[in-house]
Amino acid sequence: MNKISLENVSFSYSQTKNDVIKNLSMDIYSKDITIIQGANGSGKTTLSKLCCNIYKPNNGIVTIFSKDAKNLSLSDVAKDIYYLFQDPQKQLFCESVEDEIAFALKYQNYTLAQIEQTTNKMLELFNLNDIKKSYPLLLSGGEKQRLAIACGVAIKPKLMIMDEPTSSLDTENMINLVNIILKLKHDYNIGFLIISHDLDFINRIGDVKYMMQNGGVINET
Amino acid sequence: MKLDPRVKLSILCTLSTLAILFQNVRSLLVLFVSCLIILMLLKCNIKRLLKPFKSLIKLVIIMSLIQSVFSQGNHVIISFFNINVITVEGLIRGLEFFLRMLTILFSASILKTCSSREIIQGLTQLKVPYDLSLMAVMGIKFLPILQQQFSDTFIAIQLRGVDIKKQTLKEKVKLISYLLMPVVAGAIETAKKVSISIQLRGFRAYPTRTSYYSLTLNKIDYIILMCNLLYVALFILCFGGIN
Ligand SMILES: Nc1ncnc2c1ncn2[C@@H]1O[C@H](COP(=O)(O)OP(=O)(O)O)[C@@H](O)[C@H]1O
Ligand SMILES: [Mg+2]
Repeated sequence: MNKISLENVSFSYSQTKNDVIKNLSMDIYSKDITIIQGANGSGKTTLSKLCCNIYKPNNGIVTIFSKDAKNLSLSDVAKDIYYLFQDPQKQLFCESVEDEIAFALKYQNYTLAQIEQTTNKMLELFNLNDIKKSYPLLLSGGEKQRLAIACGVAIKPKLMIMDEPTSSLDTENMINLVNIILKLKHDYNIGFLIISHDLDFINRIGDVKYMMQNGGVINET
Repeated sequence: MKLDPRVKLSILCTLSTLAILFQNVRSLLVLFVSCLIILMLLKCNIKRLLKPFKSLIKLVIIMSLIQSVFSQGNHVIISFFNINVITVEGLIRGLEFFLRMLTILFSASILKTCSSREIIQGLTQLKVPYDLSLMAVMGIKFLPILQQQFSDTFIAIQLRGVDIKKQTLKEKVKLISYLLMPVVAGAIETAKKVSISIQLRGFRAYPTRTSYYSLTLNKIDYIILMCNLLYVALFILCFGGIN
């Protein structure tokens, strides 16, 4: 099945601390745009990192596209899921925008022509053509984010997780992001798990909404 | 036991200097044991202190082994084809290295039992310029942040579908160089932000600086300082002739 499922998952950052995620069960389908809302510190980021195996649960089972997450490495997870950090700068490490997009492709069985073709397509799609030689860390916030998304789309994930993607965007960039998300869902069949409490943003895209509270979730719709 | 940070600094200097100057197993062992006793007297949890040094200690162990393999000696324990692999002298060399590194690591941990504010104040009252001591202490505080940035980028590379374990050695080296860039860039950026924010709070706006918090040496501090001197004297008397 194309979904991430969590069964009775608990997680704490250290044995001495309280559980951040408490006995939580939910399914996230890759056909939907799933939204998780919740107050600061309610465990949204932690939950999203559990969903792609960056953290491993202390108790319970995480299943990622029918595979037990326990036996998966992060690079296995990357075949199905891409994770956009709240601060996309953390995931940019190459010397130019072009290189950044091509990076992952070089490690797969692509020919040079195919790599170039995919890179150009992504530059086009995300409107990054004018800055393709720039140094990624010097881009603006919106550009960094578009680049980080482009890097993910290049490796064709089935689901993309985004942690508070609008937190540093102005309204124009936010609407731009909405369009990108809808386009990716429609044209590339990518599902989304989006952490956000930006109501304006959520109302424009959400299919399924959840509310997080004290390490648990309540279904909203 | 609550000690003045200056006293702790002096203990640290004594132990690490002696550990570098003296070169035989017996004196190094004495230093290491004294270091452990002091840590225990200061009531610090040695296991927890060592946690961040875990990989460093592994490295020290490996280096000690390499030391013992490559040191020459007459009392051979294991040899292949006339090449002496492990000799008694080599083992002793390795052990010396191991004890020395551990003593230095452990004595540095003595400072971990006081807060950075205390260390800065201690250094300032020892007439070290405030700017310098602030910088040194802030540098230490930033290490965990650098580590976080390292692991974030490491995760990001893997989440692009690159399995680092499966790459050739050459590729691995290249991937690690990718890690360095955002870490260094991030560090410079953080440093810039910090320097701006401390200036916005009036750092060095006036030539002199008043400390609200000031340290005074108590009776126990003087006693320990005396003990420290006595320790150095005894140590040199006992082991000075051996080298
Ligand atoms: N790396 C970490 N180490 C220890 N505690 C953490 C860490 N990250 C988050 N926490 C704690 O976990 C709780 C949930 O954090 P988080 O998942 O980031 O919340 P949210 O994203 O909903 O604001 C918070 O109380 C936070 O202090
Ligand atoms: Mg968060």
